[in-house]
Amino acid sequence: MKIKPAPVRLNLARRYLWGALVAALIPLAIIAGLYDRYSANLLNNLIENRVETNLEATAAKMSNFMAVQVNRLENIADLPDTSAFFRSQDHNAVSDLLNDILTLETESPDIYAVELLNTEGEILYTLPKQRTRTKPKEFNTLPFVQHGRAEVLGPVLPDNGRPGWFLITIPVLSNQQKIGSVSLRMRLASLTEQVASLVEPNVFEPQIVVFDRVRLTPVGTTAQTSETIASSRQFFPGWRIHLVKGRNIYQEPKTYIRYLLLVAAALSALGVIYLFYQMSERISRYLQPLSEGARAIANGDFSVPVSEEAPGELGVLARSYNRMREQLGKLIESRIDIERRAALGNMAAGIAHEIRNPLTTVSTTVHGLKRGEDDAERRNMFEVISSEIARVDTTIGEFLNYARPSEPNKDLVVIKDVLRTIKTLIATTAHEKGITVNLSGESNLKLMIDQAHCRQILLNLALNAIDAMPDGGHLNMRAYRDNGNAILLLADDGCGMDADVLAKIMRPFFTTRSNGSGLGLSVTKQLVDANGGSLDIESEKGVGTTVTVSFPYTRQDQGGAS
Amino acid sequence: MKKIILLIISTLLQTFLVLNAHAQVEGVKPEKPVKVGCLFPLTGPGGLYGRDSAIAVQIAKEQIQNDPERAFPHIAVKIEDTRSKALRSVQIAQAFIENDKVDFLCGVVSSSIARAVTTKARDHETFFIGTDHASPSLVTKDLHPYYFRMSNGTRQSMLAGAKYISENYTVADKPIRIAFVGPDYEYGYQAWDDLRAFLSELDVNYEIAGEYWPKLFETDYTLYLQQLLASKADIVINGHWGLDLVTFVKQARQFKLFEASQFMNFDAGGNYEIFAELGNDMPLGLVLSARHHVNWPQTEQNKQFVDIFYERAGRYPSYAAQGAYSGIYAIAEAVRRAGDAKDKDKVRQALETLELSLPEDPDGFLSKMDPGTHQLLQVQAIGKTVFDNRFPPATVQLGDWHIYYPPEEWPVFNDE
Repeated sequence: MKIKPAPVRLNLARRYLWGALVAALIPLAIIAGLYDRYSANLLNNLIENRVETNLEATAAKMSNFMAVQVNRLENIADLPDTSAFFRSQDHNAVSDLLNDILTLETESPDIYAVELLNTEGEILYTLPKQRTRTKPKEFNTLPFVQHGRAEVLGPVLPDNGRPGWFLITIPVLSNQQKIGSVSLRMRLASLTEQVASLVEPNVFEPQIVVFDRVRLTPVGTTAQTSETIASSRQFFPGWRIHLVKGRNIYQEPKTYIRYLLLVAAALSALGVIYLFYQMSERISRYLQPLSEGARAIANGDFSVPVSEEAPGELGVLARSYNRMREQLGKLIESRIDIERRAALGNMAAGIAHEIRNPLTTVSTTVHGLKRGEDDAERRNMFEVISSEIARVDTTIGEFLNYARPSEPNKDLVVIKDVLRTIKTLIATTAHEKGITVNLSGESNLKLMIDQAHCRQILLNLALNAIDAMPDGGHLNMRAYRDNGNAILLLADDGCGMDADVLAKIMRPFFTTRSNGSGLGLSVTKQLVDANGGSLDIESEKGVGTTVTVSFPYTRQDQGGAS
Repeated sequence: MKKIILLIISTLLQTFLVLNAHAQVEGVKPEKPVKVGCLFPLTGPGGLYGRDSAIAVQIAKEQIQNDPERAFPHIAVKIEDTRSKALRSVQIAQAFIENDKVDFLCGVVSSSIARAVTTKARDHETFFIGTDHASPSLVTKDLHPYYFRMSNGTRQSMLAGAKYISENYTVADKPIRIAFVGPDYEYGYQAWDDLRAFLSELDVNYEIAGEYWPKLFETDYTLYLQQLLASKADIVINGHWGLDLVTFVKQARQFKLFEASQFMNFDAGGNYEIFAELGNDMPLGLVLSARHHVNWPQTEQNKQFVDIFYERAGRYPSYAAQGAYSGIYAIAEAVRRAGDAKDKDKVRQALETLELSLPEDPDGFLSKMDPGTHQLLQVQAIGKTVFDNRFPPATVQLGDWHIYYPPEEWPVFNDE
């Protein structure tokens, strides 16, 4: 019977596995999402905290730097020699002491020059003299702030191969009157370098911003305008530190890590999906045949085996299933046989009573009539009637044998003798059909078997073989031992049978011959079974048929022989 | 520990030199000795330059006094440690002039200190023989009749450098990106001014990728290296000297600057001191030059100078040594030709027409004074760093030389 394929739908294994997959992926997605948010915030918080702390510290440092310079200036402005210089009309009359003090100040790499200016702001004296300056081009537009006594002019940006600078000036007073002023021309980079600790390459860069119109790099050069991340307090009026995005890669480390984590989570999810898919496919591969086998049994087909290669409990299940299928098949087969026999037994009793008894009367009467008949033609007709009655009786006998087989009366039988007898019995027919009969095997093989049954078994099989060779052929009959069994083998090279016929050949009343009863092989099988043997038929259409009758062989059999 | 040993050696050396100088100032020979007051940093930054100069002064003095052919005058030299401080240097110069009554001031490593000292020399009409500082300002803006410089200035090295770039790095289709980093004082400014002027004169197609001015004696160049790398320059011109350059090279290696740009230093980068300090840390393939090289020219005179210095000092000479050596020889030769150190006009005339054969002169060339600027005209040799361990502890020297002879007259720009 052909099993219909199962409809396409999720089987239980797949449903459980996909359910588990969803259960695994949802927490994974939630954890990945939460971690992503957490790490993004963590990095932002870290940057913010660090930036704020560092910005304030740096702003304080720069305030201090400016305060130190103002203090230097105050020390110079408060010198009596400085006041004396401004009171003097000779603007080269710098005392040796003042000159030395100013020279010492200019030895600081932070200071380019010290300038002494009159009340109009004109430079009267510069030290070092070589660093006398002219007014910068953009003098009137330079940022200018006043903080306490100090005024800051600048920054003057680097130009034409010279670095940038700015000017801190405080007035020199005498009797509360301004008589002049002292300036420090400061190295701009000395101030801007103070932000060095804020530089985070690839993340952010500090810029010194003056009145939001001048932007400076940490080395005192002009900076590009960039998006500001954070801003410090004013470390000097109008002067602040801004943190701007680094060179286009501010987001990169953060984004990179986040993307990396998300990609890792996605890959894990894909990995889990693949794993679950594989597991689902594998379990389904083992469960599907079991399911189909069960449906086959439900439909009455016990011939569908299940592969037993599955691992673990599935393998055990498959093996148990196969065993169950075989046992159940045998049980049902045996039950059918018993029921069939019971039915046939009742029918046989009826036939014996209702047909065979009257038939005996008819036969006796015909026999009497034949004896009293003189007419040869009529005697011949009575002969025919008797012969047909005898054939009916034989058929009824076979039927009764099948329905109510006689118990075997076992005895030691020399198989060689039986085979020879059979050969003799079929010799004439075989000769007529051009069939060569061969006997072979162990000449002294003996079996504990009902002799009549044995003869009938072999005769039935030999006659079937002869019927299968209408155009001649070979019939080999062989007796031998194999693995504790005595084998009686009959092989012909007749017409053979196809698989369909072979499957039905043992059924009672099944025959391929027009005049056959369909009971021959059934009876033969029954006789073999009754004597504890088994019967197996192999056949191929157009090639021939081999029948193997196997009986258990014991030492007792041999001993009996000796 | 090393510092302490150096300090002790330096103190002993000073004591020896001062005592020796005093002994000679007091006059052992019958004729009046020529008094020379030298200003060198013997301790602190640039101290090695001063110590090398002091030894070279001694070598020159001995050779002069033992020269049988030329009747050189007796030279008495007094050396004082400036410690690279301007005020201290000016005060030492003042004391040399007023107390020791020296005929010549000589030495000075730093250009900014030299500018302060030259003012003092001019004011007191005392000859100042510069031996190591290199800013062109001293022979242009600050020039006076009593100042002469006996070593190549940055103008000569920058002229040679511009020629080197012009010959080796000119690209037709796009301008060369040049960045400059140098110490924030006159020496650095002048070097960069001159290089740009000569590059323009030579029609080199270039653009400025950045100009950076770290402090003199800076110890952390991180900010500047970050800016230099961001400037994406084809060539980085460096104007540092001495330990500044050593520190810069060490840090630039960490930042992989030498892989990003061609590094060049035409004035002081090829100084032996740099190679000795850096040892195996000195990268190969850098384009450098200096005022004197231990392995060029391969003349007997240079070899002898290097060997004698090594015997005396136990180390090879930095370029400062050859400068100081030249200074003393120039003084001796000028006075010999003038006949009297006190006859300042004759001495000046002798100095203005001076021709000397010095260790750094290649065969067939004599160092010659430019009378207009009082700058000695010398050959500038530019090379690339190659492996060479003949002068330990240095493992690198210059090779692949490009030689640039000086112009007939010292170039002076219009605004000077």
